[in-house]
Amino acid sequence: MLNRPFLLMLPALIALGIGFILPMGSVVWTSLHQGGLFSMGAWGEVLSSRTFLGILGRTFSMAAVVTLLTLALAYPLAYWAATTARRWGAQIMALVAVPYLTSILIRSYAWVAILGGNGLVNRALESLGLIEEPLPLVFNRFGSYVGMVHILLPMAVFPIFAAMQRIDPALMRAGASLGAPPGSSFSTIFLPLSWPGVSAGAALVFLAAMGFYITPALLGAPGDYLVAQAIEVRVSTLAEFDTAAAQACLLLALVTALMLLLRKRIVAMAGEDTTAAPARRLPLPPLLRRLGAAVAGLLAPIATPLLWGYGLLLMTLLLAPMIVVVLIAFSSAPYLSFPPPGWSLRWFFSFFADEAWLRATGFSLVVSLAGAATALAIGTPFALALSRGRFQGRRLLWLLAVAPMILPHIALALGLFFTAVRLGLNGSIASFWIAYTVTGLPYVVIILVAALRRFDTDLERAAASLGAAPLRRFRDVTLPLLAASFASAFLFAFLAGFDDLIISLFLSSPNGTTIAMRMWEDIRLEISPKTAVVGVLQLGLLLLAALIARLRLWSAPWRTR
Amino acid sequence: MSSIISRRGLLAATALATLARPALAQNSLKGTGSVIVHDGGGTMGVAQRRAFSEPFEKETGIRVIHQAGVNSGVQRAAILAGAPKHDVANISGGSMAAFEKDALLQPIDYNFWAEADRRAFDIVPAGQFQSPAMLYSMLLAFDQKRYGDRAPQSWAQLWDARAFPGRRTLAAGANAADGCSFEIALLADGVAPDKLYPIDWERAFRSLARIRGDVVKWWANGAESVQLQIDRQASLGSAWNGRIDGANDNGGSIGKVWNQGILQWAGWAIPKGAANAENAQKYIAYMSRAEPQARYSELITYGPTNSRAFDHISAERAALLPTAPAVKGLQIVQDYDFWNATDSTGQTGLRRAITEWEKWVSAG
Repeated sequence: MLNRPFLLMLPALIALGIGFILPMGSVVWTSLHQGGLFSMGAWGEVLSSRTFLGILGRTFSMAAVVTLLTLALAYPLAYWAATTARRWGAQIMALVAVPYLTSILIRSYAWVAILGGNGLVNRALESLGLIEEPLPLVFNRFGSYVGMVHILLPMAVFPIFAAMQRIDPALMRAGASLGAPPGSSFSTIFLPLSWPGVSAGAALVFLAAMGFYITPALLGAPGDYLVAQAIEVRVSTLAEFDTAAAQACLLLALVTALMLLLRKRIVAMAGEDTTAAPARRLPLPPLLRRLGAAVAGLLAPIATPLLWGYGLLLMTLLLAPMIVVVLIAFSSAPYLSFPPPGWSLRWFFSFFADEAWLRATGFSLVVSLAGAATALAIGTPFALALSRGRFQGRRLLWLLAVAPMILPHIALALGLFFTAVRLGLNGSIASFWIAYTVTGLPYVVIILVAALRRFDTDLERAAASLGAAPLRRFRDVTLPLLAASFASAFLFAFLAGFDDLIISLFLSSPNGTTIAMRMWEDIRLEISPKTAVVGVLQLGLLLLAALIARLRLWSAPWRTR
Repeated sequence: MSSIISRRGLLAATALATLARPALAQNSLKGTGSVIVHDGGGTMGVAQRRAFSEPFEKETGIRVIHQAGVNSGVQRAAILAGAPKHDVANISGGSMAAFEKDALLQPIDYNFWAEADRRAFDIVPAGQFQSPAMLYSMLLAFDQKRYGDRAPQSWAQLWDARAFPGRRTLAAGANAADGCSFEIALLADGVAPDKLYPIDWERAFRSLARIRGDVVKWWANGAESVQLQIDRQASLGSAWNGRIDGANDNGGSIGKVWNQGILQWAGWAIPKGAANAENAQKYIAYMSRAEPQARYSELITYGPTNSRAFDHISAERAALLPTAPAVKGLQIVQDYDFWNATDSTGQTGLRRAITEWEKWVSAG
């Protein structure tokens, strides 16, 4: 089957054709028409606006800073979870996903409650007598970075953890027994082997950060005005679709060009590297590598307590807003206030008594689970073909599958809506299904291509030589070894759908209204603790899933080793 | 206070007289099938259901389907694609003119209305393509505990950080007309209410620059405007009257100043291509009546657009509404014509506000 990669990729290509290429065509068409006539006016305006180009530049630089910060924080955390704290790896990963489980508005509110002038941190420092005036921790660039890094950290930690988890500890022991100092075996063995995870994480974080605007709008300085906000305001407030479409196309083109420029560092495809000499393949300048080795060597003797200290501290910071959200969900106050003046279950009752919210929750669960399952089902063979096949244009295909994440969702939503109406799918559940398949696909492809790249194909060949059929081989050998990657790909694909507001605003109908829309309409005017309840219920589901995973999937590969 | 009572008495008498007269030959609202209407969510959605939808269903036999609201961009895209999101859409006053100009709406059929009701739309008249739905006001909001004994009275005082120390919050300029920050900046700079329009952008931004250092956060949405004050991140700012009342109903202590408030409105309209246009006409006609509007304003502090509704609203409640006789003269009705007109640069006010704001914040 691998000899015919086209067949493996066909289902994903069909989905991309309907869910991305047609909508994208509609976006391009929109950018080139004014009042129904062909016009380059929107493009001319966008390209000549110094303000817009400045916003674009700021978006790139902030996304780059956020990516570097996120990777720097994520790598040691993943290392801790994959090595020192290996026994707790699955639980740590489940907790790392927690920041995702709540609506962006209430999560931002939680950060204000923690960092604000009247927030927990400042009050604590004041009561300790350390400061007189509150520190400006939020509503500035620092606040933007805190909010963005917090929510993007899981996207970096998951693929890095998955890569590290498959590194055989025997390799490190072998290195040590051959006399390599700890720093050196880290930088020549561990770091290169974990690199695919780092590059996948970097790609995910950077691309997601390029599309951010609500978090910087709520936590940042007024100047933290990013390109997705410029596009959003042109669609939502001005209904100026041509300019918005031109802006979105320009952004897509620039990011695509950047990805092609950095291609070798971001997605190394099979055939471009050999596992035999990983150290030489590490795309880091030698100076940085030596520095890494030196630091690792220096820290080796105290590595264990240091890693535990770091890991626990970072987990606390990661979970702090969710703790605030959980407390708010049990608040007796009719409004958001922190700390809550009293405790009650009224918001849980209010949620379960509200038929519209329950129906919307059910609808969101169905369409985002269907989308994530489909994305995984068609994305896995697609990733397999890309990482194992030997044919031209693989990187472009990779970019095509990832593009739905790069194109700002407001533009994708506009295109999807026009396409759905033309195909007679308006108001149908199928339109959501296609949309969430396509928005989930980038996560599946980025994570699985990275995971499969370092996958030891000898194991599969061994199974084949013992007579295992391809499907059986996949089920018994590949699947269990890549369980963590599959789990995180599915989780992100699911959340991409479940968290989506913008696409659902366009596709909504009386047959289909998502919970994100219900929360949004509630939140526009006043934030009630009811939205916190949704986060708590999601948290409960995640912990349940982690428990099941602990019992089944995650523990399996370790036992076999 | 006494003037209000006497006025109420007078109005009540008029109402009785109206009742005594035989009903005019007005088309019946009875019908079949259903109608999909905009739902504002939260308290607003509940109020709409109780005040309008449920009694409408009982009277007419038409089933009302509440569908979550969308912003004007989404609604516009939906109408252009021939698949509007609602039969009865709710469009903000600032966006309405663009919908009318591009012929995206169906005319309102006033044969379903009582003539007296139409005449009573006296603050914002009912137009060819839209029926004003609700009035609300952007007010100066302040921490009552902090400034209780010496409350600020005007936007100029909000700009006076020496007399009224404390952190401020105003709407981010990307909210354009909805946020009112440009009108507020000019009023604070001493522009007379009748000289507000056309907005002098340079002067408005100069004024905003003076307050910039005291603004802890330019709020992004209505929830945030009040939340910042509840959490005491800000002590002064702009906020919608309904949001302030909502916070105070729940134990907040935010003061509000009617003086120089900016009165805004949203309207009901029937998009081109709406599947149940006839039922939509009937639903809008029902909502134009005084009693349902009074019920609505009892549930949420939006001002009725039909002034006859005040005949059915208690004096206590009326005092909270932006269109109450005692306060409506203190406020300035936002000029949506200006916001939609094209200026010498070829841009509408809305677009100009957003591009100038983007330039301003980018310059740091």
